[in-house]
Amino acid sequence: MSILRHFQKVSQAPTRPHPTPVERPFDVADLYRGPLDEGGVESQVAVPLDEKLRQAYFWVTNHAIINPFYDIEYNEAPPQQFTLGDQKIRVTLPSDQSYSSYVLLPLLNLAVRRRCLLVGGPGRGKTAIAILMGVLSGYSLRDVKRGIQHGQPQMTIADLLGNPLPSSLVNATDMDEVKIAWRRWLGMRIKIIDEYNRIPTRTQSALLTVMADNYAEMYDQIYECPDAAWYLTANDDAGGGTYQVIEALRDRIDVVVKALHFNTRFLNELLLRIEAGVKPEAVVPPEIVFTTEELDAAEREVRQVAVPPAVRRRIEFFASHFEFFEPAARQVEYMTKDTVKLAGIELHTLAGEETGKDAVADLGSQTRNGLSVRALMTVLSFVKAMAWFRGDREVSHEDVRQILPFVLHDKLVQNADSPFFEQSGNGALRSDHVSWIRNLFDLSCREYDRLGLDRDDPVERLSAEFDRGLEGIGEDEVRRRLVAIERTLREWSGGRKLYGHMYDDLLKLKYLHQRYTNYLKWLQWKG
Amino acid sequence: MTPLHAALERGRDRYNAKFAQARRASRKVEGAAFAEHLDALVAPIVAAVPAEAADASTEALYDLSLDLMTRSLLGHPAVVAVWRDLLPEVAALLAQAPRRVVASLSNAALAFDDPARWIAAMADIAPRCATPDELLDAGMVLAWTCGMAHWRESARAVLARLPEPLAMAAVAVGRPVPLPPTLADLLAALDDPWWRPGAPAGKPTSLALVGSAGGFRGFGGPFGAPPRVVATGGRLFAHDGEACFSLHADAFGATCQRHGTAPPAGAPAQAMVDAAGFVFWRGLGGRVVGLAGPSSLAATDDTLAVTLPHSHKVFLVAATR
Repeated sequence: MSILRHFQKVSQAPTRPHPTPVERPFDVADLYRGPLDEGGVESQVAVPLDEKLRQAYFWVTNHAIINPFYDIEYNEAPPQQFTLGDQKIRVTLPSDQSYSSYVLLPLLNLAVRRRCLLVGGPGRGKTAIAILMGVLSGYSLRDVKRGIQHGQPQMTIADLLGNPLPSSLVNATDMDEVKIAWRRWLGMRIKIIDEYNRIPTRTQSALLTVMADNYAEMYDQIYECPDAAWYLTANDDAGGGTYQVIEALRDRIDVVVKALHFNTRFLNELLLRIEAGVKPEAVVPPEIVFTTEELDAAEREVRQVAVPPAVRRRIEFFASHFEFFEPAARQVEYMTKDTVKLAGIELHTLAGEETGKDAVADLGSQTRNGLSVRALMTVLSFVKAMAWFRGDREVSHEDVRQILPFVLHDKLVQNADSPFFEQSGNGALRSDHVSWIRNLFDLSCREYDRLGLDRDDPVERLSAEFDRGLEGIGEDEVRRRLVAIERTLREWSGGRKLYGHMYDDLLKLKYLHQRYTNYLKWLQWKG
Repeated sequence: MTPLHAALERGRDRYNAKFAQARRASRKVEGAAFAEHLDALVAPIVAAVPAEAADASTEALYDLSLDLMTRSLLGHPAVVAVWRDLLPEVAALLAQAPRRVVASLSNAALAFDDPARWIAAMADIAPRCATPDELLDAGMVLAWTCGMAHWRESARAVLARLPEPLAMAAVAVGRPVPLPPTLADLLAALDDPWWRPGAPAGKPTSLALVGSAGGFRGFGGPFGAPPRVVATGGRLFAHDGEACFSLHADAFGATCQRHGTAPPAGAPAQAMVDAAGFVFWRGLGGRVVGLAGPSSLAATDDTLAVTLPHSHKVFLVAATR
């Protein structure tokens, strides 16, 4: 096999076999299928889009990015575990197909067209993987490279968006007559911003408009950009760099992926590339390149993946821990960390007023903020994409567990002063945010199980009752439901400590009570 | 200087680099054998293609030769037969899509135990094909008519989409017999799996032994022990206690294809073979030499399969005219 063909070898489908009870019919076209590759896209058998993305994943990990890490672990049976060193470091050998986040998440981002931040030290392949995503989207290597916006301290808005045509600028009598030569990258479906934390603050604001609202504006002229997958790179995770990244821009980042170190055991692979003069991005096999229509279809397929109620409840329960902050207000609705932040007060100055709660058991104490709607929507998009990538049509608990750390990496701000981190073995979670968030989810699920919410969840029961609609419900029934809500609240008020998950339940019960109260009044008015 | 040598000369650095890279990647790549292959098999092919396609054809043949060598398939008899006997005959079509034609025909030859008949038929039909697509479609039909009975249904669909003259010629290759006047008539006649090109139409009048399938594993067959047969869902299955095979048979040949380990449940055959070898089935009767004392019987609408206690073969009986 020539080196070129070695680098262009695509993993054979199915890359993740599922049981296939249906017998495949005999097809005479199999006559021409054999060891030799016919070449050419037209000769390829159409493969499902999730299969194609998996083939792309395996091609990137096997031939393009030397990235022998499997930090997204799946197990179908209890995995083998080994304990090493004085610190009792646990090494797990996953028993099901597992993945490298550094390759997988950019690919999922391609499917759901969101914004992916690649962070890590210089020379670790951040830009290389962004370029590969561009080539996998059907752009030529030259177009992808030309489309990269390289952040630098002198970057102006004109550098980023385009320039007014001098002739129209001179002759214009009205702003509408100014013609703008928009930069070509704005029209691409892959947008790569290299070292975005080196862009001056004012230009970052212009970038924010493109990222957030998908249009560019200059001299009152508007350029509507197509939906695109964004890849931003930064050398500094903390948002440092030459310029501080504005918070609104950081908030638009949907998923954060870390470029891990180079494993020196793979130096021979580097040597081979140097000797052969092969650049993987220049030899991407055509069968794993997506058309625009295929990416559109993939995004639609991802949206169709179901989130089962049991999995949804665990996400809800997890997300409910973080916003509640009892000392923030007197009125229950304002007892949030956001209230404190908007008041310009440091969280720790009020933390002493938290009474009675176990600060280690209270997951909310580990963060300085709660989860925004945008963060939750991103979580749902990416967990669906994860399930779809694995060929499933339903999100599993493990999909959520594996994806959450990467989506919430920059969204959940750690409260490093929490007593939780003082406990033995938890100190490393201050710097390892991936493990920290995964651990948060595990602790949340443990609490969920301890409370037995899968078996008996009164708020879920009352919500389901309400979701069936009010039409035809009589006064007696409404009163019965109001009493049920009040009874639940009375039970809770019997000296139980108030934790984050109860706070959202409390507000939901208040909401239901108000809806029923209004409906009861309407029934009485109607007579 | 042959056209191959001229083409290699024009791309000398590139071809040398490809060979060097392949050699570094695989110990199976060996210079002398490769050069011999180029001289013996590739040179006649490149000499046969139109001059303007010599470079593209050389490139595809060279790359595929390296691929074959890394897979230890360069000297495989089936590959040698295709490159020696068929590719020069289809040179004009090969020139239109070199990699696709060479790879497809090489892969196809490897699918046969003995591809000689198919290769000869392909060489016969090639002059009637206008495009590589027509050649490859005709090749699928010929694979079926050369004995690959398991591809019967899909090959008939390919036959139906061929241009009529080419379709008629594909079925008649190697059989100088009169065929039905139109493709529609031909396809209708082929509804009966035991209709042979040139056979008269009419109602079947007698039972006859029309073929056999299987054989002892030690002689290249699929069965380690004398098999037994069952039929279900209009299909025949044979099993030897270790493995199960689906049986596919028609007038062009019979094959056994692996189908798991356990046989499916089957219905008893509405047929009988007595101790003297008289076969009674579908209202017809007749003595079939050698079938006395069967170990199992199974039947579909058109084929009766019979096994014997001491034979590794499955015998096929059908109603004939």
